Amino acid sequence: MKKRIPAIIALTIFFAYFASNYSKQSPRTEIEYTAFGKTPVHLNGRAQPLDSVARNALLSIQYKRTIRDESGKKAPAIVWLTELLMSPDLAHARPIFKITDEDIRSLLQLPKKPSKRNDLLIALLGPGSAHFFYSFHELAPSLKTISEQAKKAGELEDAQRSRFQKAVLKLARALSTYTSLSQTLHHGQVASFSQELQDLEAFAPAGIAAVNQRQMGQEFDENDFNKIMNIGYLYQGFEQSGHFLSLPSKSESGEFSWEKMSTVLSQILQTGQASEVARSYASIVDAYRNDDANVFNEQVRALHADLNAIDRSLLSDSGVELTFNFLEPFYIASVGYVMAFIAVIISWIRSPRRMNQAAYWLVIACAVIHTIGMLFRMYIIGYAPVINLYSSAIFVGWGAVLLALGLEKFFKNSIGNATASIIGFSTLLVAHHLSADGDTLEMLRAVLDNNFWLATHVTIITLGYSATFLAGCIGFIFILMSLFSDRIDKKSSRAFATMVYGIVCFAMLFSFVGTILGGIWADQSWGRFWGWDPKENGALLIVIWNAIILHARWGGFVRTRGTMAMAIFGNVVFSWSWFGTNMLGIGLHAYGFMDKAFVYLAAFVAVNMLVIALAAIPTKYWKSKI
Amino acid sequence: MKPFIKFFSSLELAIACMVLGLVLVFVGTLDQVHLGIHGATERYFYSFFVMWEIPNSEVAIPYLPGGYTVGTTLLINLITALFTRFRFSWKKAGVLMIHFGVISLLIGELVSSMMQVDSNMAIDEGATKNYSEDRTISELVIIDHSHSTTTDRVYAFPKAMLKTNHDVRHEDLPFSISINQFMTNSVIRKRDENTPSKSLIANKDIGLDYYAIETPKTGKMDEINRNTANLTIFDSEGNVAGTWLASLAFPLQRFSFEGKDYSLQIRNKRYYHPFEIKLIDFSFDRYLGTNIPMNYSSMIELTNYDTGENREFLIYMNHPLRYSGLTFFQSSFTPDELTTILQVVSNPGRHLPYISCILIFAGLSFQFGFGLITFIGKRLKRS
Repeated sequence: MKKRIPAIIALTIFFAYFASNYSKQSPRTEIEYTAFGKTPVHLNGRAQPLDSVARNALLSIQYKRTIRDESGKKAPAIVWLTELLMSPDLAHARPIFKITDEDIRSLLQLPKKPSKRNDLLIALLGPGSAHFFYSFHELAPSLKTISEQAKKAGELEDAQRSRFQKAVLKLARALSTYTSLSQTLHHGQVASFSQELQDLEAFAPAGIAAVNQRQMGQEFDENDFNKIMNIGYLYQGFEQSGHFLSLPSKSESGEFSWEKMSTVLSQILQTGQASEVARSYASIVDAYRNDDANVFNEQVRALHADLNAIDRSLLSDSGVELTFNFLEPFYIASVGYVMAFIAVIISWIRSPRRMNQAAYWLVIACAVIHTIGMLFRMYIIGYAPVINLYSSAIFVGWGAVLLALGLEKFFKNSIGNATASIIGFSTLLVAHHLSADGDTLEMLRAVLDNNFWLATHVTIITLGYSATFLAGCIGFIFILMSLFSDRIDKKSSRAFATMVYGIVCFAMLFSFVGTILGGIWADQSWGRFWGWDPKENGALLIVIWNAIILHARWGGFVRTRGTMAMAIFGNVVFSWSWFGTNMLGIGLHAYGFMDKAFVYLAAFVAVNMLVIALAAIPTKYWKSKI
Repeated sequence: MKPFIKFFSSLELAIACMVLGLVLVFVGTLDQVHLGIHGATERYFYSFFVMWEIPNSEVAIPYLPGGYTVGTTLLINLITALFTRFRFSWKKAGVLMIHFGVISLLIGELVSSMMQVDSNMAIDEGATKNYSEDRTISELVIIDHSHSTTTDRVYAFPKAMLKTNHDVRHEDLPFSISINQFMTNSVIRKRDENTPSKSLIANKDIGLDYYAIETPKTGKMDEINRNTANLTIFDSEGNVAGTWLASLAFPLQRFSFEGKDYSLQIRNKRYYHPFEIKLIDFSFDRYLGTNIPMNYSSMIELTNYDTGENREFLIYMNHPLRYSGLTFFQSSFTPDELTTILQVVSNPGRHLPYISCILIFAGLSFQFGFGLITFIGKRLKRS
């Protein structure tokens, strides 16, 4: 029992953090934001809860998923989105537009703001390291300048754009999302939306009559005619600015179709009245503007009842995604991986067994949460786990963590735990940075839309990537440990060698079979097995490199040290195939181009090459005798 | 003979080939940014040596073995090793399967690289075509319209024959053609007061109003090399019949020679098929409320003259039409969404990788599974 105490304490802390993070997602306010955030709308080709819209929009504007209110307290994104949708004037005062580029600040003559970083640090990190947040009100006078500059930048190809131009484009996109969100639920030209709908319903017959009479060449009421035309213009603008679709309907064949809020006008003109859903939305908007929490909550319930009347799956599906958002499984798992790594370090310094056991159980807990997160994503989008670069990062980490857990189970030498926690954390960190562009649960482009091949070729090859990365990490730890510490002896170095060999075999199997399956997919779809596309070539490099490692080992050309150094070079090959090939921006697989990532990629390659160079130091200078 | 076999069957050679392959694939992928996928493939993978052209000279020196050299050497190495060094045992059955799989993969790719033919078929809605075009190969065609009442006779001169200051002729044609200038890629401009004086004059048809300026060759997938030639036609006595500007960008230019009707054009190489394809409808579906493509599809009608077969078929993403050894897949379309572009691939080696896949999957699973089970067994015994 005593042996298990560290593990129990570690798991308790971890799950306590998990629970507290979950409870933080619902703000304790009179307005029930959580209920409102569950409401499904349609954006990016799929139905999703408003909570997801809020998180992704805020992330793409502010690069964070929460805001700070006036008192400096953190509030979830849905609080901000509700305000922006219903009372944009209040939202316009919030400083949420992140502007890093100094040239933009000077061009727009934005006031300098106190930064949290001090001036010395900014000078050291170079221009662009200080970021300042501005409100829509502060940016409003410069909107024209921004759109002119963005237009110029938009005419260039991405590779030719300067840092300033890229930043301007991003800002322009953020502003466009922001302004269109502010006119999605209501155009904001009148104070009460419900009143407006009632007036419209009352006026519709007269307006239609005036238009018809004029068309027929009869006498008509000019006031009524002008009024209906003005309403038409207003709603035309409302239609164009709307960001997401909020009014669902179900056809007889059972398919959903969605429309923007602006179609409420044609509803009234055609049927004489607005739909239930539209009316409930109108009441919610009014209640928010009147600061009446009770009516707001009541009307949200009414809206949900209306949506349930259309189809119960609307709210139940958005509820699943809301739960996924609230759990934040990948964030929680990455926190857990850090805890596990700390436990491993402690186990290396003192009390090996117990702390290593704590790390083991933490990694298992993280792997479970990691898996749950992936299952949620698969359920929501209805596809195999890897559909884009973001999800490949999640999956590479997941595969490597499971393999590392398997190693730990067998070898019990803490290396499985160490690599699982390092890879788990780093891949989730990469995924986090890849998600900054917004919704990662994106619809699949036509060319990829095939669940069978996504499930086989893509998952198998990604597992091959996982294993290659894992082998490289074990090699990395081995070289550093045996060079700088005396913890490694002949026996443990043999264990390392067996681990790396086993993982390289696994990598060989999965990357080879995955690559050939990709070729067969290509033949099925395009009548050719191999097209020398960069991503195909990248996968081929991994296969060849793993084959070289295995043959060099079988031929006796390398022993433990050489195998380790070669496995580390596998990291370089892996990073090239995974990210480098996407940076070339050519071919059928060029679905995720990122420029900033190039610096990180180069740094990753440099670090690995440095450790390979260290491995070349003659072993007599090593602290461990291997 | 013995040292020879020893060298070709050695593991060192296998590793050397793999390392060279690794370097080659990496460098070739990088160069795709400049040459395009097609250009880089020709230069690095479907070649015996990768040549470095010394700038401002005609001299090129090899600096890397090309894909053919590396692949063939590896193939020889695998086969000799299997015959000389390999001793069969059940334990090694997996290894044998893997290497046979690799051999069939290499042969498959070799066959594809030599025999695979890619071409394009662009069809307008409602229109019918019985040929596909190779966008990377062009030819100068002279069409004899008075050959017979029902058919024209086409004389095609491949691009390789079209060189500046070279003559081309065909024994059945009553005239010879002198290429005054050939440009692999060019832009076409309308003649005006700014026309450079060095641009060659043409005195017939389109060449009266337009001229061409040479531009650098491109290998990018979405760009084409606009081949253009300034050419003069001479009769058998050496008298000039006229000078034309022919270009991939121009339609047919008609002319008459000694009372007979001809036309000339530079166009993409055509492959005629014994069947025709009519595009009934092209559609491009997007996800609701977005511009993300959900599906592209072409509804076509296929008619075979020989067999009288007639059927409709829907070609869409991941669902090509396979007919008489050809694969037709949805490749592209024009911005007005009224013309579909189908890629037509003929690849006699396409079945080999299926065999490789089965062999390699079974072999690797057997070999590593065997290793894993032995390893776990040992562990369990020890504990």
